[in-house]
Amino acid sequence: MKRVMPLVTLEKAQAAKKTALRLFETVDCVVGVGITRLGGQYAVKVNLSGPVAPGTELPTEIDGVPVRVEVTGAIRPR
Amino acid sequence: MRLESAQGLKQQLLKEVVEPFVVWASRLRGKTASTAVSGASAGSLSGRPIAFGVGARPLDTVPKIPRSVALGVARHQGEYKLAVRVQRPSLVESPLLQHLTREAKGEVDVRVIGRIDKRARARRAAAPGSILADAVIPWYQRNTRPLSIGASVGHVDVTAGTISAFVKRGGATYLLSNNHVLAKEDQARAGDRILQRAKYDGGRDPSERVARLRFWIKLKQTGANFVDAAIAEIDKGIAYDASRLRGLVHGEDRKLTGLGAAFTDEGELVFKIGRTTGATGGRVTAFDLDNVVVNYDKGNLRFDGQIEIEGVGNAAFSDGGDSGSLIVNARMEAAALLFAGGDSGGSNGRGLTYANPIHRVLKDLKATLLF
Repeated sequence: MKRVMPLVTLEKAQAAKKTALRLFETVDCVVGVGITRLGGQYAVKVNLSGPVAPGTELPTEIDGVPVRVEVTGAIRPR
Repeated sequence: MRLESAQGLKQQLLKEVVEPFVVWASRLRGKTASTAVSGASAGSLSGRPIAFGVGARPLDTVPKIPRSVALGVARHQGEYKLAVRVQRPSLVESPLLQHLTREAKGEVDVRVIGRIDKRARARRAAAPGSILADAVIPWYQRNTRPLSIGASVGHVDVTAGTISAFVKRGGATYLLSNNHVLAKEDQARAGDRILQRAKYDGGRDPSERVARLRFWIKLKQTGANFVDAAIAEIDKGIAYDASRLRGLVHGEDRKLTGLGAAFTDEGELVFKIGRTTGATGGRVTAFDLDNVVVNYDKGNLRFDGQIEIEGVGNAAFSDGGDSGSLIVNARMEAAALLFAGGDSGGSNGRGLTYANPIHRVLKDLKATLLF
């Protein structure tokens, strides 16, 4: 079976993560920006402590890298 | 069931099951060993321990009443059911919930509601011979010699955390855990006493003193932190087992085989043993996670370069008290140091756990892993 080359390399995802960090710097409820996978492809993950304020738009893709947003709630030391 | 039956069952279960559980859990806050031990002995249903967590934190900051379970009556298509509102995701799979479900013959409506503002008052103690009285405290909450990976540990003024692993620095041997477990978020002093088991689990000073705090990485309030880590020098004459991973996979022991690769990918299967939830399995959901904002007692701190993990199946990967747990990969190599978590998120909705890559922890502490 022919192996499909990944469309999003780790390097590309890391570059998009840097952009995401810059973009989300001013959004208060962002509690993490990292790398994950979506459908086998590397993607950017953005964690939120709660829903974003009405009217705030979060991108679903940065430079061709998909963005996954998840509400993780507040994070505490365990 | 009929409304009267649901109401009666609710009252009965509140008195017999939930209130004694809350009393047990709140008693653990007591600072005397005897109170904590007799209280803990009520914390089991049918001999199976209840995983109950409190974050590793200074003892005087622990709430008197812990989050547990609320009971009520719910209506569903004209029929009434026992409404069970769970305030900690880790309780969903607990013997407490299984017991409630059994008693209601499956006619239950269970929902996770998380943290709320008002808390129920609990007055009733567990009656001798009640279903709560026959207890088995899990090994990781007991006095454990030799010292073991996964066992309860803490600074003498901290509730409880977990022994991560054993390390060398210079000629001495140390146990590894978090700064907030061993160094009280930078409030401790070098030489402070470390107990195993921790104070919250009934640990006594000095008879259960096993180490002295030596080195820790300061938690910065501005800029990024990378680790929440500290090491305590093991006292002479205290034995330790640096390789045994007790009951890690399906209750069977494994051996720590060394240090894993520096890169941890999404989807990797991982395991840990912690003071509260014992041995659990997880899956890496994200890595290279920056700007992780964690609510410490000293304020919101930022962490960069972190690993995120969800529990497998229907369980949470960790709960309060699991801080310091060593996270190993499927090859039983050390991968990360557990330090934080939340109650929301993850594909099973049981919350996410955060961990420092172990390479960075060892580098910053100038330590080498023993195994």
